[in-house]
Amino acid sequence: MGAKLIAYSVIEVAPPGYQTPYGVGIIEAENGQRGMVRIKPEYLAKLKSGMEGDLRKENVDSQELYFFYPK
Amino acid sequence: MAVGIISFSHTKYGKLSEDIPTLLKSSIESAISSVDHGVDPSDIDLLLVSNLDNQFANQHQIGTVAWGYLGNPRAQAFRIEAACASGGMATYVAKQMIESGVARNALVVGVEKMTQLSTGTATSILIRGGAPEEINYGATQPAAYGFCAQLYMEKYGATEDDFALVTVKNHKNAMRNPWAQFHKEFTTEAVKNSAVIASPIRLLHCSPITDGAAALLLSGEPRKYTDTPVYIKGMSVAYDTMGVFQREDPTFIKASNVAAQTSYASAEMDPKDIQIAEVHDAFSPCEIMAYEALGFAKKGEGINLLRSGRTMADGDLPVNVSGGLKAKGHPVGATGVGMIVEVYLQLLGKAGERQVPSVERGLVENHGGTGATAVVTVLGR
Repeated sequence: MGAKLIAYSVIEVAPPGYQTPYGVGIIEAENGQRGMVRIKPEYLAKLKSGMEGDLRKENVDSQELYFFYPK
Repeated sequence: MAVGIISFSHTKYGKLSEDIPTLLKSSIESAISSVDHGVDPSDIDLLLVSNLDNQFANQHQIGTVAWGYLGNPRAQAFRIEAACASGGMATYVAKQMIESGVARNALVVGVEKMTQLSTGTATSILIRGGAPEEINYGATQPAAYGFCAQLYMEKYGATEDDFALVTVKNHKNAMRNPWAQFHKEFTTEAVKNSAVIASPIRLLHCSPITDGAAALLLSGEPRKYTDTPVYIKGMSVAYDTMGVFQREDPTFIKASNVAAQTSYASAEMDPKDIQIAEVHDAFSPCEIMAYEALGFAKKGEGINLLRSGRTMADGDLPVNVSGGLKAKGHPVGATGVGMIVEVYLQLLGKAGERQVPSVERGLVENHGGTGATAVVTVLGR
């Protein structure tokens, strides 16, 4: 599913159990719904608000999270 | 009924050696003993303790712990929690209970012990102030505020210099506050070069991890206890979505705006009537957004108000003369209470070196999460 990145933050200081840096963002999906995403470290340098990408659901520590992959 | 503040207590903010029970006991005793005409503890019917987290406190039934120090076995006592707005919320509940006739006099004590925890552990507690989705995705409080700050920069052209200016101003103000956690000034460049915590939020945009306590004694008959009460002219609570991602405009603290409008109406005042304010600068960009939510500036013009110098200590609308959360410190449960103490002292002319001349009307904006809960208080003589 496609989505637009509305805003993002690259987190350098996190609670125990998180490997930093990692990204979190607000996206707007194709259906207009807004939600949260996680963004993997390899994409952090190219992030820009408003950019398009794909959403993929992945399992992290026994919970399913949406990840944003920039196009 | 006009509810007034008749006394207060306030510890130094920072790293304190006292434990929570000791801080509660000394705060209660200090607030009671400093009432001008004296107060019998049996006339204090209500004791509210503002405290964020039991892991910080390492103590359950904290209201009852405090009750044990009050000296009135018939008093009701309980804990109030609304994240960073806990102190404002406890004060609001106390005022409402006086106005409803449940209590004649009510003591509010805010307390938090945080510095014994590592930054990581404190972060894992503070993240719980966000929406469930933000918590699941690991969006820390700096990250959630980072969304707001980034969008504000893009929408209105705010710069890193603007965010730094808030830090520089509030640290300068804290130099004159003996209770402040930090007595250290920073340059704009130092702020801009400080480590990124969660972009665009940097270390020197963040309020610190703090121990501290503050108390307020409220009365429905304030003139019985003091010749110089400060009145709560207007006080209101309002809410917004827990998650920043759920908001139509994340650059605007809507809950604070709604609470402010109600409080101004109760006080029969406008933003232009406010002569001094303490606002919730948990992260430096918040202060600029608060200017707009409170009607001190139009949307997008908070940066112009900041740049104009009007909110500096010697400006015509001094904001966070105490040093704000950024430099005075942010012992979460105590914060909202301590903010009201600051404006109370300013209105009494008893704020020491940081006293702003001739102020009669002030405002406190205390919000929780990223503005999901807001308490706005208008105070006057």
